[in-house]
Amino acid sequence: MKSIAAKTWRETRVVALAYLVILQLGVIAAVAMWPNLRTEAAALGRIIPAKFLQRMFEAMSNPDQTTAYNAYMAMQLFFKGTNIVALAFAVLLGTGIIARERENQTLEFLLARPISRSRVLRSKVLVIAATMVVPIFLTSMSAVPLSWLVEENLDPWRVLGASTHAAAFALLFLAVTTAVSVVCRNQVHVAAIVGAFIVIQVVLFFVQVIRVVSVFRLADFDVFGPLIMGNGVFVDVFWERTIWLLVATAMLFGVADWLFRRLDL
Amino acid sequence: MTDAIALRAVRKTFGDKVALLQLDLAVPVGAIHGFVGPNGAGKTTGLRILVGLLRRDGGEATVLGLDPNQHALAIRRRTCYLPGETNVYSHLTGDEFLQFALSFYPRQHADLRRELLATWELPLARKVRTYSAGMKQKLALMATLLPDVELYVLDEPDRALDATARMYLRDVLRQLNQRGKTLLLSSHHLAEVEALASALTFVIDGSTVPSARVDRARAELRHVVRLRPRQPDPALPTGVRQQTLEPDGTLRLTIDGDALLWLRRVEPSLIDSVEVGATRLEDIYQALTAEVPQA
Repeated sequence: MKSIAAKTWRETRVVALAYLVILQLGVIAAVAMWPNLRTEAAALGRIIPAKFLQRMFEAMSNPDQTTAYNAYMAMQLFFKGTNIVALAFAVLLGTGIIARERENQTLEFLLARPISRSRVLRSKVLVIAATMVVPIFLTSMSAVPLSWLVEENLDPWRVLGASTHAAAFALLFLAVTTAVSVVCRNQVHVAAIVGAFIVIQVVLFFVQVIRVVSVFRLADFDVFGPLIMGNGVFVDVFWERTIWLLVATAMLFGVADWLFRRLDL
Repeated sequence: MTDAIALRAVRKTFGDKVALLQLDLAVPVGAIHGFVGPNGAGKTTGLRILVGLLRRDGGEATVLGLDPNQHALAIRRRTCYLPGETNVYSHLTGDEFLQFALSFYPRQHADLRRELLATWELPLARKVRTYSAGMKQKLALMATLLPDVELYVLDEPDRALDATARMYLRDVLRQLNQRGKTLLLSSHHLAEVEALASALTFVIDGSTVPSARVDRARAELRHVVRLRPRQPDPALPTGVRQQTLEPDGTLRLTIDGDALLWLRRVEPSLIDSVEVGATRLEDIYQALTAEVPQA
């Protein structure tokens, strides 16, 4: 199990580093942009058509500077940052979990080793899940000291809570990608299927009347905003939403494992 | 002697496609056994069932006394399998690949490792992506043959190897056999398999060919002579029942009566080389498939 984990890390470490750097640059850019954006948030909010975006900009132009900054960072770090970057990398890293082995004709060699298929999948998924999740926490928490540079404050506990929810959301997409990777012949097919799923979910999210059915409703500004601004409590969000994300993720990994164990080469 | 491998009437289908209809195979402990058949005959499916990578749909199977459908992992702990169409991890160095592949087995043949490394001179510090096809096959062979297990199942082990490496591989496989190991070899090269194996199992269209039929085919092929003439249309003695010219200029002759007696009557100066009987796998397949009733 250790050797498969080590091999997986060797395969993903460059992408993992790129992912960490992109997330971190996003945080730095977001913090650096705040002094300029602070004065323009209200004007921007008036010209934006979608109601949920207007709500975001209203919060960002709150007369209380700390509330405004927290709303801004909730959007930058989580609604925008992890939802785009982490999901993209969940698909990028997840597509190869099994499909790459099949595409490169190494799957049979790997499965012929004296190790169960469940352990093969678990070893790979654990490394990739850690690769996905650790940078979310590291980069989000780095926003706390970075905020001092622009004379703002973020509550580290609230950031930690929001990071946990964001990580659970990213893991859900990794689980979807893993399940598809088990059954697909090559990585392009996996990326196409999961990509199509994400596009459909984004489209649903942007149509006001049917937004409620979009999976992005589980990790939008209405979740992260209150968490970071302090008018929402992580424990409540955890029991209302995060727990279900984790349950769905566990079930999807279970499906992936079941499919992998029954897979004919 | 007990059997390391015993398959009886094993069946496997993929949707509507029948991959194995009735596969029978018995390999005694400590034997080298050849498993031969044309492409698509079901050899690879059979080998995958043996090591528990595929589940059979019917029939009985035991490998090292265990049922592969129930105890695949236990079988793989005592077996090394070289897949036929496998690749090696190109992003690793040869050394990293070997370390990875061997890390799953507690015991290894340290002496054989030294010998193989010295003979094949693989550049283990280099990335596998820079290796030739033959070098990759040697690396995969090392990963398969170095673990100290009871049974080695090798699908086309000589794929991409040159003649020298093939000859050396024969010696290595004999060495393993002398250490009491059981080997099952699947190959297209009949001569390679026959040089090693104490017995052969032929598989055609997903079924084992009964040994009586193989014997009949071999007996029929004793009348076949392949000769390469020094010049076109050589004057050959009478007694040739059928004559075909092969693309490489070889004459394939079916002789009435004893082929060796007929050959004595051939003027030696007319021919460069001669083969008698079943030296080529394709001849045996041809003779066997000619007998198989079409479904």
